[in-house]
Amino acid sequence: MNEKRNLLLLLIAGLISAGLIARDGKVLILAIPLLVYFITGLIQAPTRMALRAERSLSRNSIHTHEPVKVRILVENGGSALINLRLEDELPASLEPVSGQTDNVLSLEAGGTADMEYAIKPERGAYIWTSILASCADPLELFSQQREIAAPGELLVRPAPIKIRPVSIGIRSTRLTAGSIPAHRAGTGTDYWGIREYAPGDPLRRLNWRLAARYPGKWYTNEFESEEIADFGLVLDTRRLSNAARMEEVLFKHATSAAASIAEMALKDGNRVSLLLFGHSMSSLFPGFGKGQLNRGLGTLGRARLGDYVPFSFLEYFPVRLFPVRAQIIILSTLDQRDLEGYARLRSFGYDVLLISPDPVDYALRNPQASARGELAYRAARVERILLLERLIEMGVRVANWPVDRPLDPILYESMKMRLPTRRM
Amino acid sequence: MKPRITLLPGLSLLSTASITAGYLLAGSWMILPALLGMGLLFFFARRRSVFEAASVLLVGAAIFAVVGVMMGLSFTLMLLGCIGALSSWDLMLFSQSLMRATNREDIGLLEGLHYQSLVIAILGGVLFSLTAANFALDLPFIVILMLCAVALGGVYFGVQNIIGVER
Repeated sequence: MNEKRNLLLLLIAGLISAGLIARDGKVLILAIPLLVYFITGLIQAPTRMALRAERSLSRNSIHTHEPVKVRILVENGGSALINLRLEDELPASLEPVSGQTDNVLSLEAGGTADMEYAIKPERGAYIWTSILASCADPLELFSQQREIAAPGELLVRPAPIKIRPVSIGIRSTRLTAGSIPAHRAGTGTDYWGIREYAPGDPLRRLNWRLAARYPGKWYTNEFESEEIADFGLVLDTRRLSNAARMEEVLFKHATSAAASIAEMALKDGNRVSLLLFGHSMSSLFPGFGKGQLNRGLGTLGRARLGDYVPFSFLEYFPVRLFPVRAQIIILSTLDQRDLEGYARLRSFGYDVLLISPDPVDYALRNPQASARGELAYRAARVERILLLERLIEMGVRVANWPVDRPLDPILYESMKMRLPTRRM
Repeated sequence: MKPRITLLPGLSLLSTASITAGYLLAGSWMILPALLGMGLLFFFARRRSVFEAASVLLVGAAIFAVVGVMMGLSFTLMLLGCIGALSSWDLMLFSQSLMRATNREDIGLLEGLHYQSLVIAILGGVLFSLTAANFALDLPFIVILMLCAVALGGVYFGVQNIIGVER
């Protein structure tokens, strides 16, 4: 029952009661106009609705904050509806930037109507199932409500952050031509060394100067081979602290960084696999090219923060996901309990690069940070530095990333880092 | 100019003026502070929602009309006040619901149908009320009580049967 009808019935009942109590017919008569008004609405009450709805989105997959137009076409398969209200309930956190998500209109039998609005969503997967249609009499006393199926799905992929190409010091490559220096002689462009001529060497590679210096001997220039590599991206989706807002912001940056690195690696022809590590795991097996990039961005688009699971759980993951000696890039804010997991990954022979959005730096820049908490921040800073030092000792490259700064110089610094000799 | 923009204040004024006139003609000056109180309540309720503000006027007018009839004031003025309040309440809520409509043609059609229904309801209400006021049926109390029960029961079953699917 709507509130308008409730109030009207209450007034009618009140007037009749007052008339009966006072035994005054004229008080009873005062209820007649209200009763006639009520009956007028009742006579024109709507019959059953027979509506069909179809939802169309201008694009089904977009990057964060790109606009999408949502259009809903409604067709009336029943009798005319004169006071029809259509309402599209948006998934949480969505707001229309133009147009309306509800409309009041009249729809004749067999007629159609459409409703259009635009949204600029954040990263995530959005699902619509239905719209709400309600139809009332002209006085809006009696109404019917129906949920009309109008399914739709939108995937919002993370917007990659701008990273200049950074040479990630890969130590192990695949034997396929690519763009990563393989640290051995081959068919590249960078000079590697000289060796004695062997039959079959192309003449254009002969070192004529040495041949002139040592008559009777021939030497061939060698170039560094450039090959593709295996990249394994691990995005940490565990909630590591109770600071929900901070976790969300850092996670958003980590997701964008993962998208950028995947894009950079795939553009150079490398093979990339992806693992979302957390309470609910999701993985993408190694692959090349644009298709893999789209799949990866889709997986990242659906990524959500979840509960804590120990990082050592990673050791049970199928080896197919991360081929032997692949370059593992982990995006995580880092937890003290994870050290064992990193040690295991290193012991399996993986090269590990940790890109860690810095929670301490983020908390310190928070305007709510008070002077009283300064000592706590300093203690947290020391604790984090010690933790990162221990990872470096294990042979893990570390990029400690204050998220308000660009990532590429920090990655570049981490590449220059001298790691201790491997003891495992 | 849209009819509801001129009709709405006109009907509200008609309702207030009729009730005030009924009381003042009988020398009951106490209606003035009561009306002022209702105005203040309307002002505060308007900040919360249009429905609450409109309902304050309707309920207030109904209470004043009942008290006035019991005091033996002019029945016609009280009825006029009640009907004016009902109309302005309806138009206020209708204006609010039309704010969601975007298509001009739809708005025109909805307005036309609404005014048509409102006029039928108001004219019917006036006609039945005045006719009933001029009848002098002398019925026993128990019969009146039974008639009321039948009427309310009829309305209840009508609502249940016609809008059975409504949530």
